[in-house]
Amino acid sequence: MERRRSDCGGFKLEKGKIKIGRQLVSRTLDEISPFDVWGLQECMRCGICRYTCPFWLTTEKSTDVPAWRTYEVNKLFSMYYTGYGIVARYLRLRKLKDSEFKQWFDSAYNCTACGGCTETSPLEIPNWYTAILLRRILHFTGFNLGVPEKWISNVKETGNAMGIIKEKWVEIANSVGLQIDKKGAELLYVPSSLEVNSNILGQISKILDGMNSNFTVSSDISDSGYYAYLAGDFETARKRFMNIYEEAKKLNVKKIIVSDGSSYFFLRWQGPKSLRYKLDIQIEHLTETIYNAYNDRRVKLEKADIKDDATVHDSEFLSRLGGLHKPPRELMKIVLPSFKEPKPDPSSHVLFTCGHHLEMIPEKKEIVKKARLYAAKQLSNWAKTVVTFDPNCQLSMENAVKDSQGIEKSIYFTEVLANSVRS
Amino acid sequence: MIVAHAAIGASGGPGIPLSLYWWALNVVFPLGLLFFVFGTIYRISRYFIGRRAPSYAVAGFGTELKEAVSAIPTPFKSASRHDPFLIVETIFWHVFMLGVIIVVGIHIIAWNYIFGQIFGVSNPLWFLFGISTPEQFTSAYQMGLLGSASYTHGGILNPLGAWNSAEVSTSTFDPWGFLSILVNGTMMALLALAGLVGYLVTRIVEDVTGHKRLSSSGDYVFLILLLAIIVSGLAAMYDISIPYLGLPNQANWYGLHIALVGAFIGYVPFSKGWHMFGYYLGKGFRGYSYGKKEK
Ligand code: SF4
Repeated sequence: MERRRSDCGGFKLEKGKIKIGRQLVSRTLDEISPFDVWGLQECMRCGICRYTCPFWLTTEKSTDVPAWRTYEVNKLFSMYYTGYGIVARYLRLRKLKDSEFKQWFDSAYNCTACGGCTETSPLEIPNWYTAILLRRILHFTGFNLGVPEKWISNVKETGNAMGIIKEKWVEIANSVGLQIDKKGAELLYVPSSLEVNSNILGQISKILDGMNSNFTVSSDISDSGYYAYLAGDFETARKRFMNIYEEAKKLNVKKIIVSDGSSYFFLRWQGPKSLRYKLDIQIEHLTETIYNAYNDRRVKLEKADIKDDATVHDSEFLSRLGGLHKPPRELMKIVLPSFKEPKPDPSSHVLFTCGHHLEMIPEKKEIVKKARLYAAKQLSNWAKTVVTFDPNCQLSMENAVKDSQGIEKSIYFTEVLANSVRS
Repeated sequence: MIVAHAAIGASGGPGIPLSLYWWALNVVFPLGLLFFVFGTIYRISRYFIGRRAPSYAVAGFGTELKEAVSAIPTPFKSASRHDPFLIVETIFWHVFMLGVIIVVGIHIIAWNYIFGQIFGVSNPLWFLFGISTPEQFTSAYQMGLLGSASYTHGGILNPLGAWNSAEVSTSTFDPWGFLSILVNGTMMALLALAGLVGYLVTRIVEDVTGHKRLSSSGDYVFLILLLAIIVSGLAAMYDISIPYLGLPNQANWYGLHIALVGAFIGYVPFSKGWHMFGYYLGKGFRGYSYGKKEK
């Protein structure tokens, strides 16, 4: 911890005041785009964003208003990168108090980065991103939470945020019949760490076989790496994203297929941005691949064996931030015998986030449970069975079932589609 | 500009101290404009100087524009459902804005005069006369009731009568007819004042009860400047007399008014008020960085 603090270019706690050096700010903000700068600076702090956020609705604390985090990051930005900010810093009109830093610590993980607040914001301020930037400071300064730091070290050591080693991954992949490192394949399937189990991978294998697709997995890639990003370690995440793009090139595939909504967002959007990499390979979410094949009449879809009324919890990273709206719901419309479509569109600000990756952080257990209730209750208005498109959402909805929050069953979309896709 | 000020007659002249009017028109206001231009360049360039990564466009301009317009109701819907107080605040703000927009109409004749003097052109703003509004509802000359002989309406609008001659030269126009009873400078300035005071009060209540904690001192500087602009404008129009403010009193009120407007304009790029320009840009901006736009 100490080492990282000195490495990162200065973080000192002195007489109740925090001193953060320029180097740390520079590293924290090392990938911001003009849009991000715009977002930091233009937020007028009307506070409307907060009504979308189940975390603010739970705590009603000013430090959980999404715009508050943006304000804090902007403060840091302007202290080092704007004329008046620099002057104000020298005149000590702008400074960080340790109490404020403590609030960063409390607030940074009261957000799933779902982007709902951005959707609501009159100026579409990227508050979801500033929450991750706060985590990045916590990571650099050694104040990050234990589980996110564990994700980071796992990704560094094993390439998998849950610490699944290569041998284990290959063993599971083999056991469910996934082809490994196949040259000449058209598609590279990249799982995310929560999907690396024989259950989900077995279903994926069945779907891809059902589509008659020429696919492979890589023995080196058992995770898309975004947990490191969500934990604030962009460097580790970048390495992982780059590995994946390079592996796809090495295997000479035409597309990368993911089944996790978050993987889609990070490989399609945030990874290339973070790496300053102009994406030259297509990234698809599995639902998109199936939907396109269905529209081109390359596959048939049969009704799934699910009797109950079922609705969908749209993956925030897939729809709101990922821009992929149609395929998940359209597929469910076709295969679910009694599909109850949510009224708002998939990226609507009205839809609440689940607990997503925060479900795995023990310190956040209580607040996540309360915040999750908003999504669970909302979904239960449409149906008691919920289909998810991101393993974090699946985990969250399973917890909602356990906590009797209004829904009775949560099904991962691969389970729904495993017996439905036929070539 | 010297010409304009001399013609208006508020000049100090040799041996006489220069008036606030002179300073406002010749120094503060141009400086305000200069600050605005500099601030705008600075503010926009910061997006690019501060950035570390390029953003690649993923949606065309048309899509961005459509998005910009179609997304406007979202925050309003959200606020109306959850926070009636915020809606009250918004209503106050828009009452203020409505007042301000119409109040701009009474300035056309003054700007027409000033710019005409500066550039040596007669009636440079002729194309705006159609939306000009009278300064008060008794300005019957603009209602066309008293005919063209009614121009000597008593110097309410102008320091030392100079703008009267400007009015003469624009000849009679009657854009609002009997609506002038409402659509006139006095009513609209009072409306704007009411809106602004209402907004300030709701804002203070919100900050004091404080679950938002999102205001900064800059917000209040901005609002108080606006308040002072309206008050000084009204005071100038009615030549409210305050002892020791200097003579001619009305010219100094105008001076204060113009100086405050100059300060306000210069302050905008350095304040949150900048969002008045950034709003529409921002609504469609997001697709340049990530997601959102359906492929
Ligand atoms: S991104 Fe989602 S969870 Fe985070 S602050 Fe915004 S609405 Fe709340």
